[in-house]
Amino acid sequence: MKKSQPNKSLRLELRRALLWPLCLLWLVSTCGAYFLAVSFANDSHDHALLNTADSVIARLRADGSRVWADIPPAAQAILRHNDRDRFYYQVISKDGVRISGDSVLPGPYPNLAAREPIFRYGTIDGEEVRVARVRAELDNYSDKIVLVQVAETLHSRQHLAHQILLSIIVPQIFLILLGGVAVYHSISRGLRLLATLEQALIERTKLDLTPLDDKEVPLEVRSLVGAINELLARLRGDLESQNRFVANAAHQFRTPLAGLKTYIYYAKRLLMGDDTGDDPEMRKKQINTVLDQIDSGTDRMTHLANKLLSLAKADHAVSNKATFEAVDLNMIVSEITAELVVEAVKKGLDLEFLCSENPALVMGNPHTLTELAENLIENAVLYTESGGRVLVSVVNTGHVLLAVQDTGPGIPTEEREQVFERFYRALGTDVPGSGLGLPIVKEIAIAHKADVIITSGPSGIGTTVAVTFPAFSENLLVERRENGWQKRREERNYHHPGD
Amino acid sequence: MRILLAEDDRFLADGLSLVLKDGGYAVDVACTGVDAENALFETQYDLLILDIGLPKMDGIELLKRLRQRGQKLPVLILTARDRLEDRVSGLDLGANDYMTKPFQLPELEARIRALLRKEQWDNRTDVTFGPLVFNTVTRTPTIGGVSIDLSARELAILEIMIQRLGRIVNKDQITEVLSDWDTEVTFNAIGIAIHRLRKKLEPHGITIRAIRGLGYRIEEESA
Repeated sequence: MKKSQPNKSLRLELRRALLWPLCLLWLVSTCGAYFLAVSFANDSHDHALLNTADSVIARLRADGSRVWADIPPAAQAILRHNDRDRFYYQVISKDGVRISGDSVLPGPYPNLAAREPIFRYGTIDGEEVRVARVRAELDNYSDKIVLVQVAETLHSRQHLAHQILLSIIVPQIFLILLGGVAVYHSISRGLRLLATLEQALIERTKLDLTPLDDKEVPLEVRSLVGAINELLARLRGDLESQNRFVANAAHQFRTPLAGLKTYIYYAKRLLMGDDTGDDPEMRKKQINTVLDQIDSGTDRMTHLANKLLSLAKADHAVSNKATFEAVDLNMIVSEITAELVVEAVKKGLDLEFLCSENPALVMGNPHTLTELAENLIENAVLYTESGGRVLVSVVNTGHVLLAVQDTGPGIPTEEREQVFERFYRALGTDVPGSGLGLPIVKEIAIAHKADVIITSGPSGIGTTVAVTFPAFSENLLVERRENGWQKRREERNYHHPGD
Repeated sequence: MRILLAEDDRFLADGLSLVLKDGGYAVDVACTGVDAENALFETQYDLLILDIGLPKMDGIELLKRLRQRGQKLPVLILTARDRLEDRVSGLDLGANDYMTKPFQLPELEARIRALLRKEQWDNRTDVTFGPLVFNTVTRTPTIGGVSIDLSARELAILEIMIQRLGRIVNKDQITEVLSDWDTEVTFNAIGIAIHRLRKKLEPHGITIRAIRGLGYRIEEESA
């Protein structure tokens, strides 16, 4: 359990949040209970004291100006010495002068005229006492009225107060302790469940991405486990597609590698063989042809590696939008079309570019957007036979649209989704393609929140790939217009100082 | 020996057919499963080298249909897929051998020879005809331990003659074995090759007799 201390210990936190309030509660309730106990003890003892005072009054005898308490010694003994407390009594005149009884009683006090019994504390011989004063009328007394004061030490009531206090406090302590232990245990149990979860995660290999079992975990943690499981599922999906991709990439390299090996083997054999009658000029020519093949095979593998790299970059671009700026798609597409015209002319194709009338602004990364356009146009040029036509157009109708239209063999409807899968090759055959062009386009489009749709060209001939970008926000336009355009203009001026 | 190479990668297909042609085989290349199937209908091949990942009809499907039709020619699968289950399913469907790309060329050639030997020579490694010993493993003819230097075409003709010892081999059969889609071997060219071959063999008491209107037969010259 003490394996790993999290930054903020849940247990300490709970202990702090629980222990201090409990202690405070205990303290407050103790005080309350104490005062309550004292007041209960006082009430009952005061009552008894009053009774005693009454009995003293009942024993008062008066004879004109003389008053005395006729308390037989036995009764006095009973009165004065209960098991704990000592007892005192005193009779005083209504002016507060002692008439008879104990002289040690603390002196008379104001409010002598009060008819109700008066209670107060005093000290006798340094010991605290409770004093009750009662007014009594005596017929035989000249003055008629006397005040009787009785006093007793506080041992008894203290004893009672303590007992009441104990009877409240002790169970309370137990209750609090019990509560504390119960909370501690349930926390521990909860944490133990977390620890098993932790252990289950620790014991996993990095490839084990199966969901965690959420049956054993506490309800509160279940949502966390659910979130972990969701993450695991996402990772699983990613890993699977990654694995598929790597396997495909490996396969994709194997065939040209086999080709290279074959040509190299053939070249070696040509060099070694001293075939009869073969003239050396002829052999040299053959070897040159083979070397050319090896060269083009290497080019193809380089192309494939580059495509893989740019796909990885496009993957990265999805998560990195920091490089986005306002870009005029017209510029990007016209530049890349101009570059590819050479290739198109070589193949005998008509490659044409139609730009939009007003700037076609999109928020994006100019490099990846260039790549997107390049892949689309390259594909169109690659798959269209000599004499065909490739039309590249940018349209701005609020949404910016890039369309590449060719008169190539077209993509059957049922394959239009599959062509975006990595290494899927619709034509597969003679045309040298990497099977990565459209996946790269898709990846970049996703990064720009753009849609890619493949349709047949007009009158069902060829293929049209349309990329629709989201509407350009006017606010961003105003904000970015200055620096964005300025920057691009500067760049262009820099590249073509003479223009 | 005529081989059909069903491989969609032009680069590899061209290279392989160069090497195989250099080894004296006639090679046709089919780039799709459908093309390969059509070729198999039209021509009697001695061996099919088959890529699994073919467009239009994949290699596995092609192989299945080929065996269902009862075509018995040996099939060597050549593929980038190297998982055990791919190999097992390929062989279970009636392929005779399986190689993963990239492969070692000498090994591929040896496997092709082995497959053809089984088919054509009933697994014999040496075939003797008089003083001539033809090694089917290395495809070298020797006489008295000395190998006879032959061109690829001469070798192919000798091979078919030795395969059909005692029988007459007609020109069409030779053409079939020597030609492929790229190079149609003329009767005239065959005549020239046989003439050269005969000149190399006659000093050792072996000749190739032309039987007018029927074809050729390899014979021992009775001294």
